[in-house]
Amino acid sequence: MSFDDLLEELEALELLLRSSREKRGLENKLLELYSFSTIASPIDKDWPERAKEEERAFWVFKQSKYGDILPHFLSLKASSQNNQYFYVIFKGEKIEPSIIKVPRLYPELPPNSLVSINKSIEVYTSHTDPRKCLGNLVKGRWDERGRMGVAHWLLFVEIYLVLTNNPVKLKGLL
Amino acid sequence: MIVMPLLPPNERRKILLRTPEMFSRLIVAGIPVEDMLNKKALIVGAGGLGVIVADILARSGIGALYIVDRDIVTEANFNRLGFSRDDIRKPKAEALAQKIEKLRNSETVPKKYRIHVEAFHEDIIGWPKLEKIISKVDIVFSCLDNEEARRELNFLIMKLKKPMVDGATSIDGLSGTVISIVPCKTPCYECYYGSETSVKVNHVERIGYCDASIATTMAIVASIQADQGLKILLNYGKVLPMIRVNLRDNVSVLGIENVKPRKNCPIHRRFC
Repeated sequence: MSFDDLLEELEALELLLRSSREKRGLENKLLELYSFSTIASPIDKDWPERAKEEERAFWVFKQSKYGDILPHFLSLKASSQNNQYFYVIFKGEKIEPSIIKVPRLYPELPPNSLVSINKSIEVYTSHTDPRKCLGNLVKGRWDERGRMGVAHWLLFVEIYLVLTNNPVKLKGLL
Repeated sequence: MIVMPLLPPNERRKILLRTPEMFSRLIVAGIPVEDMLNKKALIVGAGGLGVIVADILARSGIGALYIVDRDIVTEANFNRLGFSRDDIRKPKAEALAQKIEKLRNSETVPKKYRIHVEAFHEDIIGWPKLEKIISKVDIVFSCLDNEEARRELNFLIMKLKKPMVDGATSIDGLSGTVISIVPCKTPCYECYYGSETSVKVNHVERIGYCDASIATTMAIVASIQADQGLKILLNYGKVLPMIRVNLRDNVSVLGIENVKPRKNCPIHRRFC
C-alpha cells in the first residue's frame, strides 16, 4: 500500500467514525428500511399481530434494496409458547438454532439477548463482559416509540459481528 | 429517626441460651433470628452485588434463598468479592449457593437453623418460572447489570406486590444507587423514567452499557441493599426510597426521602 493509499484509507475511516457519531441520522436510516406499524409488547393483546410483523420485517431486511443485510441469519420465527422468545437460525461457521429474548417492555426497550444452542454466538444489549455487549452500538439508536424491532436489532448484531471478526488495528498503523 | 430495638433487652438473654453460637451476636444486637428463619428472599444476579447481599442475608439467619444468574464464573469476576479460582466455569448461581450452604448447613447446626438454597442458571428475560418464585418469597433483591432485566423484574414485583431492593453502580464504577420499592407505597423502578419523574436515578441511561465495576463501591452498595432489605423483612427502622453512594471525589452516602410515584407511570397505573 502506497502512502497516498494509506492516507485515503485514513480519511475514509475518519468519515466512517464521524458518520457513526450521527446517531439520529443512522436511526432515521434504519427506520427508512422498515418502520413498525403495530406497536405492541409481549404482554399486550395485539402481540400476535406484532409478532407476525416482526417476521415480515425480517424478510424485508433480507431482501432490501441493498441486498441481504442480515447475511448471518437465515430465518426468524416468533415462539408460539413464549411471547418473549424468537427463534432465529444463525449461520456462522456452522448453522445453529438460536433464541432471541425480548423484555416485557419491548419494543420500548430493545431485545435483550441472542444466544445460540452451542453458544457459538452470545450477544447481549447490555452485559458486564464487553466481548458480549452491543453497548454503544445500540445506545441512543434504539427507537423508544416501538418503531424498531428484532430485524433492526439483528442489524446491530451484524455490525458487531463485522467489528469482532475484523477488528480495526489502529495501533498497527501508527 | 431512632431505630427501635427489635428484641426487648430482657428477652435477649433467654433467647441467647437456645440459639446456636453463629447467631449469638445477632441476638445481642436485638435481631429476631427466629423470625428471619421464616423469611425467603430471591436474589437476581450473583455478581459483585449479589454475592454480598446473599452472604449478609445468610449470616443474618434468612430461611431460604433463591438465586438466579445467567452467567458463569470467569477470571473477569475476580476484581469483585465472592468468587475464587475453584469457581471458574461454574454457573455463578450454583457457585454462590454452594458457599451459602457450606456456611449455614453444617452438621453442627441444628436443622431448624439451616438454610434452604436453590440456584438457577437462567436468564430472567422470558423465564416462565420467575413469576412462581417471586410469588413465594418475601422480598426480591435486584443485583443486575442491565436495565432491561431490572425493568422486567420491576414489572413482576409490582404485579405480585412484593417489595424489592435494587442495587446498581454507575458506568465508571465509582458511584451507586440503592432503590427500595414497596409496591404502591414508594415509587417503582419505572417511576424514575420519563419527563415527569421527581428524581432521576444516575444509571437510567445504562441501556447498552458494558459497565466498569469496582469492589469498594460494590461492597458498600450491596451492604446498604442488604440493610434496607432487612429493615423491610423485619419491619424496623426507616426504609428510604433511594440512597446514593458516591466515592468519586469524596465519600458520601445520601438518603433521598422526598420522592413520589410518577403521575403517568404506566406500571403504577396498571397495578396500583
